[in-house]
Amino acid sequence: MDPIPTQSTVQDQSTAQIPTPEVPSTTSIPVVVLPWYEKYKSLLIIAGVIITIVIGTFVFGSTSPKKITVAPTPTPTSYPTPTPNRTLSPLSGLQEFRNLDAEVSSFSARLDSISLDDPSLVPPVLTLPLGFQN
Amino acid sequence: MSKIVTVLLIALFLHSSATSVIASSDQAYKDYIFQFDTYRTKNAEFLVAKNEYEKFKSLASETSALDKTKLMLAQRDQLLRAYLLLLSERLNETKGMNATDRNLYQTLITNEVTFLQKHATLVTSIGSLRDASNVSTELESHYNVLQGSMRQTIIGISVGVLLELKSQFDSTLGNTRTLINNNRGIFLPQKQATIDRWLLQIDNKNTLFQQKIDAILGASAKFRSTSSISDMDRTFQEQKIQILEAKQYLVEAQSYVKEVMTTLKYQN
Repeated sequence: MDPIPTQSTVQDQSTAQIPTPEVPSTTSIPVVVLPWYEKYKSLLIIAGVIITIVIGTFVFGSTSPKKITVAPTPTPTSYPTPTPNRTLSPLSGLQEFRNLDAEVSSFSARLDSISLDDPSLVPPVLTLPLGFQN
Repeated sequence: MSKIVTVLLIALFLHSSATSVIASSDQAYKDYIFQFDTYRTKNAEFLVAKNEYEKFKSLASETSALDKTKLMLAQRDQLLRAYLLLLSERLNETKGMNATDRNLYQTLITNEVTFLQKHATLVTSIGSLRDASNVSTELESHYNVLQGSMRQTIIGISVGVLLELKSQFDSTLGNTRTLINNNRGIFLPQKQATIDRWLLQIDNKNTLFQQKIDAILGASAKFRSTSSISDMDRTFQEQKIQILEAKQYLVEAQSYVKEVMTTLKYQN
């Protein structure tokens, strides 16, 4: 005859039938540490975009043609700048100086007008071979 | 009264001799142009006769072609001699050249004229078209030497004109230096230093000018060793550029002389 199951035996049987779930211990869970660039991913993206814009503006600005600034045309005033007075030297009154001055001016004019390329002296260009077929 | 007449006669003589020297190269140029026009006419007639002979090959066309060829060859020699005479006259009129250079270029011209005169006698002895081709070949084989002599003479004439200008410039500069040296006490030391600096710059330009002239004259001998007319023309153009550069040095030196004159003219 089977023994009358007691509470302890019933408990024993219940514990034997129901598997006890495994409760993981807190010390075995791996802790995931994100790298720093993952942490600040959005900030880095924004910073990269800003830097690209700044560099592109700088490069484009240096290669593009500069705006030409035209100096304003000077307009005559009612009070012209006075020509500085230059005192003639005692030498300028000498006849020797005046003769030399005229000589220098005359030679300058001759030098400016003379042409060294004489077209009348170009050698004649002739076709020499007679070209008779033998 | 007799003295006045004598003076007038001497003046008339000098005037006529001066105009005859000026007219000789002008007359030589007119003669050259005339010979060139005649050559063009005779060359055109020769080409027509030659084409007719090559087309028909008849005795009459051959005789006509031979006559026209002889006339053209003779005229060609005459044209080249007229051109050499023009060069000779221009050479005589160029004042800045020294006697050695002038004799050198005159010798070149004389040699070429002698060759052409001998060639002209060969033309008169032509009896057939083959003879004509052989005589023409004589000139063709000498043509590079002839062209080299011509170009060398042309460069020599241009250099002679430059040297004449330089001589006049040196005279003006000498007078300027004399004026400065005789009046050194008038100017302040600072002004005198300015004038001396200008004179130094003028001396530098003179040195550059002389170096350029020496280079031009040294290179002109290349013409006689050049094999082709195109190479000769290239050298010729290079030398003409160098001549212009030499003139530019002279122009700059002259501008410095004008600066010296302006500095001398004013006290401040």
